[in-house]
Amino acid sequence: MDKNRKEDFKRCIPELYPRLHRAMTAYLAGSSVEADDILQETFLKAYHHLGSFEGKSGYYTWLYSIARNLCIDEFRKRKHEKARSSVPVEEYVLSSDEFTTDGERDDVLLLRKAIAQLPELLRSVVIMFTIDGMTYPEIAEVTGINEQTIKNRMFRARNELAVMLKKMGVDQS
Amino acid sequence: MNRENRRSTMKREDIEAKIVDAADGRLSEKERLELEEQLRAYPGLLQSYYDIMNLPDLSSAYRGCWQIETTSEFMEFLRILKRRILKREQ
Repeated sequence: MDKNRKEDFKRCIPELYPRLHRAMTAYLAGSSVEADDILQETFLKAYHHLGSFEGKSGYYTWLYSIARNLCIDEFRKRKHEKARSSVPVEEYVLSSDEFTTDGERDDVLLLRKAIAQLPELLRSVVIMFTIDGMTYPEIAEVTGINEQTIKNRMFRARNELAVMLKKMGVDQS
Repeated sequence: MNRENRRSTMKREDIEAKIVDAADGRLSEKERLELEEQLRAYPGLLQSYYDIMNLPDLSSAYRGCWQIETTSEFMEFLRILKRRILKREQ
């Protein structure tokens, strides 16, 4: 394989890792799958398959699709989705959080729990758009689904979140 | 699916995408008012529209979280990755 491409990829890792780490941690919130394990496999797989990277998009969206597929494989192995809803809300608390009031803190934790309870197809779109800041065309590229369908999934995701948050008693007025 | 149903499904999907555009703040005031007018013919979607527009900012759920605070975590990640790459290449 082209040695230059390998070197170029290595140079990009410090820039790619923090963003992907953040996105995968959000995506995996409430699951027993570790983001760092997924990231190790992702970068290793990408490095060994750099020859198949067409370069139409950036490394990031390519890596994201590899990482997401690895997560889905892992969910299947662990039959993870069924267990997700049983994760107590306290497990979503992270030490770096900053809240001005207890009410705000509770609402944010419930929002995280609601996002984590979305089916994978909807959760991944929410994470990619709102957390990772990807555009709809980029999400379409990662998932291999057209932009219109991505928006329809975003509609369903937001609709389901509204229902869940109402049930949880979160004030949405 | 007959032609009428397909047209109706397509119409609904277009409106859903428009609601998403509104929630993302991509519609002008005029476009948003036009959408609301259009939604009066679809009471279920109109309710969804109000619910979605009233959702809290979803990005606020993760603001400030999971920043890599020290380089040591990243260095450890790189060290393991390097070792695994070398092992595979041997």
